[in-house]
Amino acid sequence: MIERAFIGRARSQLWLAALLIPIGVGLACYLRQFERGLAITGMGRDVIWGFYVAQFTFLVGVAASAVMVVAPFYLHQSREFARIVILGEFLAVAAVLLCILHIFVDLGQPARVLNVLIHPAPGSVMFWDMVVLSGYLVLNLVIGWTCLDCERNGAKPPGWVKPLIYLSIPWAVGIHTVTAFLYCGLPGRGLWLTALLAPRFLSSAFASGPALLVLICLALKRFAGFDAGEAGLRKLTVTVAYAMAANLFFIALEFFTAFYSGIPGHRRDLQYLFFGLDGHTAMVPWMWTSLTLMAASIPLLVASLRRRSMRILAVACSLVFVSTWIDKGLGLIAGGLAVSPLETVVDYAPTAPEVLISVGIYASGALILTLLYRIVLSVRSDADHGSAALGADS
Amino acid sequence: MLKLSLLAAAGLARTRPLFASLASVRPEDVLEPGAALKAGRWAMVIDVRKCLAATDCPDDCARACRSEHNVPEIGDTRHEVKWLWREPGEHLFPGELDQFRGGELSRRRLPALCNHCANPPCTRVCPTGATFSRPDGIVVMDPHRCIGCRFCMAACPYGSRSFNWEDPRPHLKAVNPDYPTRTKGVVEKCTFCDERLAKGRPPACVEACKYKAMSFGDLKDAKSPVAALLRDNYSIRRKPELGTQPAVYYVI
Amino acid sequence: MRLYNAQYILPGLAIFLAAATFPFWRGAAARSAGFRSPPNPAGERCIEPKQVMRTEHMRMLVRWRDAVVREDSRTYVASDGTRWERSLRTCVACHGHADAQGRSTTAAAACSECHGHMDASLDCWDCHHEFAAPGSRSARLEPGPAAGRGPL
Repeated sequence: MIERAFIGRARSQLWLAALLIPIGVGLACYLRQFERGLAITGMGRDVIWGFYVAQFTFLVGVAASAVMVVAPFYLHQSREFARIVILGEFLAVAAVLLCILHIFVDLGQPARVLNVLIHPAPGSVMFWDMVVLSGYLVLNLVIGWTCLDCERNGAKPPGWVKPLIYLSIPWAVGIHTVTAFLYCGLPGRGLWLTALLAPRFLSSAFASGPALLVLICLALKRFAGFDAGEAGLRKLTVTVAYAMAANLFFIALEFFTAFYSGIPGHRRDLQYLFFGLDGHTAMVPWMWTSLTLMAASIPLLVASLRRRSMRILAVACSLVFVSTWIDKGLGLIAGGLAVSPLETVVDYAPTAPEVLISVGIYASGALILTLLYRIVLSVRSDADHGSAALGADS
Repeated sequence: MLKLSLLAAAGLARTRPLFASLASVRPEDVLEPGAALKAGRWAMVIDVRKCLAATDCPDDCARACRSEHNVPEIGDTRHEVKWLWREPGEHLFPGELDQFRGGELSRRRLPALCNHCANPPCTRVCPTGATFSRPDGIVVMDPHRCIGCRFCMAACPYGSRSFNWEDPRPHLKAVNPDYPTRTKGVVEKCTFCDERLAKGRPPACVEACKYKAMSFGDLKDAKSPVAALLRDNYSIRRKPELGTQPAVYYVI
Repeated sequence: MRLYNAQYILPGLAIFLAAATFPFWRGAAARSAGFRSPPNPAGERCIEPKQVMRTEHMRMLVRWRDAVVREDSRTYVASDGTRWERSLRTCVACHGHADAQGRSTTAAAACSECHGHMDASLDCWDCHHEFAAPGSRSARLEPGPAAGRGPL
């Protein structure tokens, strides 16, 4: 089945070749970072995590959001997702790989990364995050691959896959919860020290992930002639709308607690992000853009459902994706660290090599996703033409 | 030859010695008796009254610490490495200092260092055990094991940990050959001078302060100087509400 | 029996085998380049017999490292009962020689000569000092109370 990943139309091959450029640039920048140290990034002794860790956090959400198609399809027999569920599972695979790569490039001593296994520390949330992420990667790869292989052969999936599928549902919630625990268990970091962090992570993930899936489906329809089915997209749209509403509600709750209680440790980080603190206002336009786009996306999502407009849907989902990316991929980490333990405010901006390394990682994720989706599309088109028996390897 | 090549091929040549470290403590690991300073719980008391009185303090504590441990002086504040340094009181005790006494405590720079907490968040989050608490309360850093994830720095509510964003060696003006430097990509911090304690000497900062503002001793020994100071004076600790139980006390 | 897709599989296997055995080729090439013996150390004897040091020094150093940093256990009792400070300075005291400025790369040269030959990477000297301090005392400790003996 894997040989299907390397067969594609000219345009598709060109797309893969184009992805190699940012991957190469990112690799070159990483070699420089490997040589010189993390000094080439914008991080420092106060903002100790930056773009890499933020992308990791955002992408864990994208990975977890596969549950939004897996659970309805397998638990509630939502047939609308029949053509989407495998796309969601493989998106999760690519997203987890991106997470792992982003953590890897953030390490100061990458050659010692196996110390996490050689000297395991079960008291560390990072240890458990590694466990749940690698487990989730294996689960989705095994489930997706097995179901697809059965579909190709016109057979029913074997019985042992069912328990794995059921396991993957709470596991998806688990990966983002454990990722939230990385942050919300730290004393003295007011923005993160909230029990609402995991629910907030999940709500924004269940908005951004399915929104990305909708955008991918629309792109596949336009560029690859693969129709995921309007019913599935409409159902996903409803998911995105509810998740975004919950996300906005949770943000409002954070605002109330922080500003009504007036406790400096809780208030000042939100104040830094949304209003500026001690003259540091770098994040303010970003955060209000994010909040505005979040708020605007909900009526647009509803409008796309009412008017059955794919164009409005594409715009709405783009707004969701961009707004949640700003919130998690820019604001969350820099905002949580900007006010140092010694009460000084430090702005953070990623450097060019830092961004290029991350772009290179994203491009390698797109490459993996393209290869996986080629297999899916080729199996599907065989099935659609009723010629499964005349597959490539006969 | 073949064995080595095999190990190289598997990429294990570097990690193999680490497995050897799992060997248990053997009888020959006995300490040199007599020489080392031992305690049930090491603690430091900083007499802020003496710091305030010393209006011409030459920063000897921080200087001694830097030269003793080869702490680099990096110009870029973002990449600074700090073990012991002086910081305005309002930064050490945000929102806690009496504002009706002229604000002197808030303005004046007082020593800041690792608090060697009894309940340290940094060791809790470390994914490799590279930082851990010794039975005598010292929070140590094993730079050989550190993977540079900086989780401990996110967890430390005192900003007492530093990361080597670049190779520190070019930033050393003089080198103390009796203490190693660090390499890029690892975290470092104050160790209460564990290497000096093992040789029967007090921490470098304590020894260097000519105003005798810093005291060091065993909290569990009622006769130790720190126990006496804390018994007879009012002392505060940094961010006690976080439950970290610092071992560095400030007498005010 | 027939091998399907042989045109993909066979070259793929060949590439995989070449990549997997690359360290052997590289190591063989490096070893054939010749080997210079490290300079003779200054001390009259090493901590353990020469043959033990040759095969066990890496395990010994790792054990020393963990004993000092993690267990605050700094004295090593050799198999003949002599006591040594667990420190790279103990090695450098004999294997490295201080010049007038107190700097010499002899210790690092002694290590890297052999390690380079064996293609084993070495990063001790990134942090530890490869030179002996001027007038540094002998690392051998005065005899203390009896203690157990061990191979490392």
